[in-house]
Amino acid sequence: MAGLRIVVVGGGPAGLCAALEAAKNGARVTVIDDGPRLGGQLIKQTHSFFGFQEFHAGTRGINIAKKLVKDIESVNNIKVMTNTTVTGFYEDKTLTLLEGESRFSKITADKFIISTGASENMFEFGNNDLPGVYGAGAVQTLMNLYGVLPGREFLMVGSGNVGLIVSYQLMQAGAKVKTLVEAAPRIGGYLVHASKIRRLGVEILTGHTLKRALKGDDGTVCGAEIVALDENWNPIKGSERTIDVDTICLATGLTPLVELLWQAGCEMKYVPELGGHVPARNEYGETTLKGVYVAGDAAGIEEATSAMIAGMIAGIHASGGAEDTAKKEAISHCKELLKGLRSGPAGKKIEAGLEKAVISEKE
Amino acid sequence: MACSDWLIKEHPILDFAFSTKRKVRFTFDGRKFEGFEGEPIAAALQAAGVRVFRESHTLKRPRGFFCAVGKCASCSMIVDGIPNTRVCVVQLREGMVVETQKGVGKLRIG
Amino acid sequence: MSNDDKAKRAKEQTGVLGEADLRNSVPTEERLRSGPVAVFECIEPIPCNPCESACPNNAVTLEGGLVTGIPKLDDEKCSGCSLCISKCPGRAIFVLDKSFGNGLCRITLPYELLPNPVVGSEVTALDREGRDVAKAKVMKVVSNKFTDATSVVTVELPEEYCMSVRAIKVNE
Repeated sequence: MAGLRIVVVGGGPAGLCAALEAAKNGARVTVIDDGPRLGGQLIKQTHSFFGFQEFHAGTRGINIAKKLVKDIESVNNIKVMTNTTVTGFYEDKTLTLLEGESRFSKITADKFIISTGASENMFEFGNNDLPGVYGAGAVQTLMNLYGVLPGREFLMVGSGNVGLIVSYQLMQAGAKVKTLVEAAPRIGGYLVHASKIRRLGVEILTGHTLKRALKGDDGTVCGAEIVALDENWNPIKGSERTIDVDTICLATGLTPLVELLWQAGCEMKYVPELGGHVPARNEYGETTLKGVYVAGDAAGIEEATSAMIAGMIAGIHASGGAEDTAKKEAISHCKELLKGLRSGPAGKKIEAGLEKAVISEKE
Repeated sequence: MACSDWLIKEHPILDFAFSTKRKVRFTFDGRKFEGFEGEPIAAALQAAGVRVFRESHTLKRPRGFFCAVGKCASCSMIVDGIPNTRVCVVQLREGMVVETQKGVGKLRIG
Repeated sequence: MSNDDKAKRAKEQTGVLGEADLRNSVPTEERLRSGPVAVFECIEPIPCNPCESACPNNAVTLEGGLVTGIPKLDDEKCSGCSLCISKCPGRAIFVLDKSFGNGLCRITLPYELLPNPVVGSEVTALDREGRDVAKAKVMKVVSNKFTDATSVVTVELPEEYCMSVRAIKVNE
């Protein structure tokens, strides 16, 4: 549909793929991102991706980002606004923007795709506010974007794919990961990721958590006290152990960033399997607000390949894909790919979450 | 001049091309530092081993870098006289004056 | 709890695959002695399929034809070319060769750290638990555009470690 104005908020894998598909259909797209560069979390991922061969599997995340950004730059009808934060989404479909540090402006459009990603979770432990306690994303930003080693000896908290992968990346950057603790009785991420770090000497302790960070004379982290947990997740007295580390990295889950969708008035649902509150949406990602779509981690915590495909679906549909046979087939193909990605055990949780979040046309 | 001990000079996958980046000078609490122009001030501080960026208001606890994306305010410092500057997103420029922020920021008007 | 369940529990807690897990992917002694052959230490149904298309001999198929299918290697078709090693995102493929008849074997594995291994030098061989178990000699290091920043390293060491060594530590 030519001339349709579409604003994409969030220039990560979901947003970029949505923008590319919408632009292909003739829409005039504006991609807005609060960071200095497009690519979202992809620009920090030095590891090779899983998924389909036809969909960048085997390619390093950083190179997938490069390719997507190159594609975006080569398209005439996509305008990019980086260093721009969307500060509000009002009833009349006006978005307020903060460009840079001090310029305010407004934008509106016919359709919106909100692909704002997720934020890292904190949890309670003693001295959790100390310098030297960093989120996994922050550790990746320092070491993979700016080439700064965040510390020399680490405790990693969390054994999901993020914790396992960032541990490996820390070793590549020259740091030592002494121990990884996971509160649950089993490793959360893929065993191949766990095996990679085990054979390089990283100790993985399931059924353990971080009790408190230890404060050094300089006021920053100088150690960590970990403790074992029983089957009811209660700390076992006397099982405390101190590890000498200078940095603690938290990889304890992500929560979708959905403030704009709340403010806009979308119906929201609390879905633990998807990471928290997410907007109710149909199979194309359209929320209860007509013309407002959600894609990527903002729709539910998953991973980059499914974010890209969900972005494509939203982009095709938002730009009038429902009317065109060829595009309808493209959407069907995307849905098949998503089904394939979610067909393993890890996908069961996502599917269970989507049951709660997806509203079918009949409802 | 505090040197950048924490820069990753060699990496198996990434090339940071430090030699192509423009180095600029800034001060932190009156001491002379160097960093790369356009990168977050926090990156330059961390590269020099500085982790304590401010002091909390009530309990005067040391605080520093945490989220790296400008959302948690843990990294707030006074930059060129302006308090509550999120140094993890604000870009470093030549001659910047960076200071530890103690407590809540005081805005000097005029 | 059956032994299989115990093994499952152990691996999920430690991240270390045991004999029971690898039962279906270990090549026969005969095959190992006839030339290099790949071993896929990938036992979970992860949505991932680059290994299939990486093999120039069509020796890899994913169970059930699904992207989450566990990879199965037809080791008669496998030539031990090692092209799959750098394509596996999980870094879970190794090529083993016990055909030398001199008490030594060769293991080809993916390596993505620094320092780079130097051909002819000695490195420390690590088992799946990261323990130093032997010394190994670096025979070959392949690193090019195809391997995309991964080094595919072949080391030689006593053949008793063929099924246990899965990583190396390069000394400064």
